[in-house]
Amino acid sequence: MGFRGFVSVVVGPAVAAALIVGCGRSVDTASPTQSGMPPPSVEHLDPMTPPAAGEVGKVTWALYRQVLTLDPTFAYDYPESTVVSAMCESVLRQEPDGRIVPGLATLTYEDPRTLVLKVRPGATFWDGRPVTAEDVAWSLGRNLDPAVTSLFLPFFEVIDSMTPVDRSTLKIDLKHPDYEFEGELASNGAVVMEKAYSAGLGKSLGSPDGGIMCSGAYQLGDWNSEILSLVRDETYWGGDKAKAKEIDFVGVPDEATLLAGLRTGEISGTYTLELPSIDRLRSDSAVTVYEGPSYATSTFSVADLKGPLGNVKARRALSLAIDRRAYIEGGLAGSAIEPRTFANPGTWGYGRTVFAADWEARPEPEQDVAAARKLIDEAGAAGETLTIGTSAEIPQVATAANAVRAAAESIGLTVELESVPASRYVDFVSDPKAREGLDGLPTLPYPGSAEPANLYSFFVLPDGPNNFDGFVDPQMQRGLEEAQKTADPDARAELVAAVGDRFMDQLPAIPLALPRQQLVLNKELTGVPTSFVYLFAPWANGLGAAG
Amino acid sequence: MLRFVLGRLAILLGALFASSIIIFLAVQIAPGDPVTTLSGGRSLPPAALENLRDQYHLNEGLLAQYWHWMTGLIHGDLGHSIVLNQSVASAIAERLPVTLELVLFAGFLIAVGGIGLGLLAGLRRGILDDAIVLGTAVAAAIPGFLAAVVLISVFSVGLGWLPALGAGSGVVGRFEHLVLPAAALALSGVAVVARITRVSVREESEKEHVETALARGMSNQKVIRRHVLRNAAIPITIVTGITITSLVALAAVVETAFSLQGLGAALVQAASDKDIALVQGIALVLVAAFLIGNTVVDLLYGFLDPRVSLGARAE
Repeated sequence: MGFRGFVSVVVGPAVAAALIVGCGRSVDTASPTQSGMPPPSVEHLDPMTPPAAGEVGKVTWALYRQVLTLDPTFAYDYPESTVVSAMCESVLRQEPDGRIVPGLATLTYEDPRTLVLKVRPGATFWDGRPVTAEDVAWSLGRNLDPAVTSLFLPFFEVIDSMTPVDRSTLKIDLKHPDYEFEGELASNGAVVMEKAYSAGLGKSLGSPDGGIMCSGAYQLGDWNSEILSLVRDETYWGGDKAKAKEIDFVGVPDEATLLAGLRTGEISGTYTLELPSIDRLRSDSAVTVYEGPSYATSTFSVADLKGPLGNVKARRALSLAIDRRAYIEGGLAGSAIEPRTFANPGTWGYGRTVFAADWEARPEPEQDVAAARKLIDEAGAAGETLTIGTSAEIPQVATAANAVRAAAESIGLTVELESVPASRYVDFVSDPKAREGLDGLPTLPYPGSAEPANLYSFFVLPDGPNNFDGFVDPQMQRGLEEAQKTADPDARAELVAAVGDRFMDQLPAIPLALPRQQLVLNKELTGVPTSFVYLFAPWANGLGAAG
Repeated sequence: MLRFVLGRLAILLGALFASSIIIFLAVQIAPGDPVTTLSGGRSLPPAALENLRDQYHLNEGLLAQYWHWMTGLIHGDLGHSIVLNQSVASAIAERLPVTLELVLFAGFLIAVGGIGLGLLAGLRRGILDDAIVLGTAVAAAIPGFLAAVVLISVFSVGLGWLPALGAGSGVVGRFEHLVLPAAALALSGVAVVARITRVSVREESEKEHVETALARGMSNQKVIRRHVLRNAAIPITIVTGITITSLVALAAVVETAFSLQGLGAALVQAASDKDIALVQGIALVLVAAFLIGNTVVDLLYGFLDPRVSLGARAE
């Protein structure tokens, strides 16, 4: 995989903020200043570029590598997610600001454990056949079939049974109430495909041989080793047809090539993963660089709780000693904010006033080396060795690792960097054996929908994918369980924010920065989200010519 | 002749088998996992990860995978790429044309440009000779990836004359798209061939029989054609042939830099994904191409130098 892919693990893209008001950043920051008020501590990023004025012909969109499969149950990494979400539709839909709204179906609750999905009237697949409850049940059920090997398997295990009531109504019984399941219904795991087309294809579903049958505004065109092209569906069921006639996706692993392609116009746009050279594009006349809300958190993940970071005071000390401002300026080209909470404000898909109030009440993280030294002494960890996993070949990882190293050394820890080639860095995340001997490493986790609880659960629950060394905190676990069964969004947000506060106190992982999503777009184009939502929901329907 | 061909075939098969074992061992030692490619390094839930490994037999180890591959190969099946979810044969078939065209294009540049410049410098002393010597000394030291970056920034971004990435479509489109990659791939080869050509021509020109022929009043042109070029052709052909053959291996770097979906780029990717069937399949093609290239050079050698008999060389 290409270098920019690793960035995904790490520091990458995007960012932040939050949209309480949801207008342009410049506008919002300007007005409070004029009225003599201090600027709000949560920045407001517009999750959309301006609407398009007209149609365009062919658009070429860059991904960091080629797409390997279109099977939605494998749409987990950036390239597959970007393409699948452009042409397929999920049961529910994530809006550019993270809110969850009806997608192919509307959701009502018969009781807290019983969900009723009603397929929207007139919804059809590209071949004109209607989307039925049977198609929805089959598509969701694939996640639970071991032979399919869905990467979303654990997120759908809450389903107890699914029963089509009539042609367009599906009843889902859950094992226990789970309101966060709405987020999964708005993820790529809940993309609806046509059963009649797909069922016989077996493993070739989503491959160049088998293709795919979805319901979105673009359908699959040519797909070969060079390009994967989407052509607009002229009879799209869901309203206006797309403004771009064709989108060609190309895999561009090399950053210099990507830069050249964007500057010459051969590449029309791309969502980037913390491009180190973003500053050069900011000053280029051919493209506009947008910054939007992100779900991601640049993180120092704790890999070993038996080492120096096993003591919470040592983790607090390390966090306190990090010079985040320097890291954001130097490592992230200024495209991030400091983490008052572990979850990025871009993840506030509901209960925003609650989350914002929590954010306002929390202190801005300040570097305080003297206090950190005191803490590390109390922890009895001074002089111990901290081993940090890194890769000198991935600049984003290396800068993050160096920021942590500087902090650790400033409080009297001895630091060893274990640097591996780029292609091996991902093993640190996926393979416990590769992680052996490490105390921690830079990562870039993000939830699958705008739901901070989803992110927290990765680190806090026993089987969480980012819970590298059996971190246990009954209080946070209880909070997450409680939130899961709380229907009222604001009440749920209160519970989740409390978990977030405890997270910052216990630090099962140390947040480094909350990056912003970056979108690089040719000046002649507009009409797409600037936010992280491009991985999860149709983002290209409005892509068209700028005025 | 028949003996030569049969001998070559035996060498080819032996080399392919040996390389498949070496590659197998190398891939086994190298880190990586097809699953991490699919996840992009985003943490996967342990349950999903385990299920995936079971389904793809990744827990069986590479030896089992190699055995599956070998038995398939004997039945004429190159196997299935886990990561691309595609048969290796069709994955190669899709990527072979670009690599072949790129290598042939670059080979043409090396043959024409390298030999041409070398002859020019070798036959005419003076400022042109000095310029070529200096220029090729610099060019020989420029690796393909650096040449690619410079060419893209000058001719694509700066001047806007040629496209920076992709392979294009149609004859004209393909040509346009391959000019810069071929130039980047050929650059150091042109320089090497030019320098060898120049030296060979010089050496031959200074030989006694050449001076004798000139002294006996033979025309300059005739001497160059008959005595200088004919003899210099042998080292020139060999170096040119080997240089061009080695492009097969160097193409990977240039393909990546220009986002060309060729065999080389796919091989690098497959190796880091531990996609064993694809690695073996592509390596098979590259090793075969390399050996065929060398065989062509040998044939030319025999043709240029009558003292060399092909049958004898094969023994």
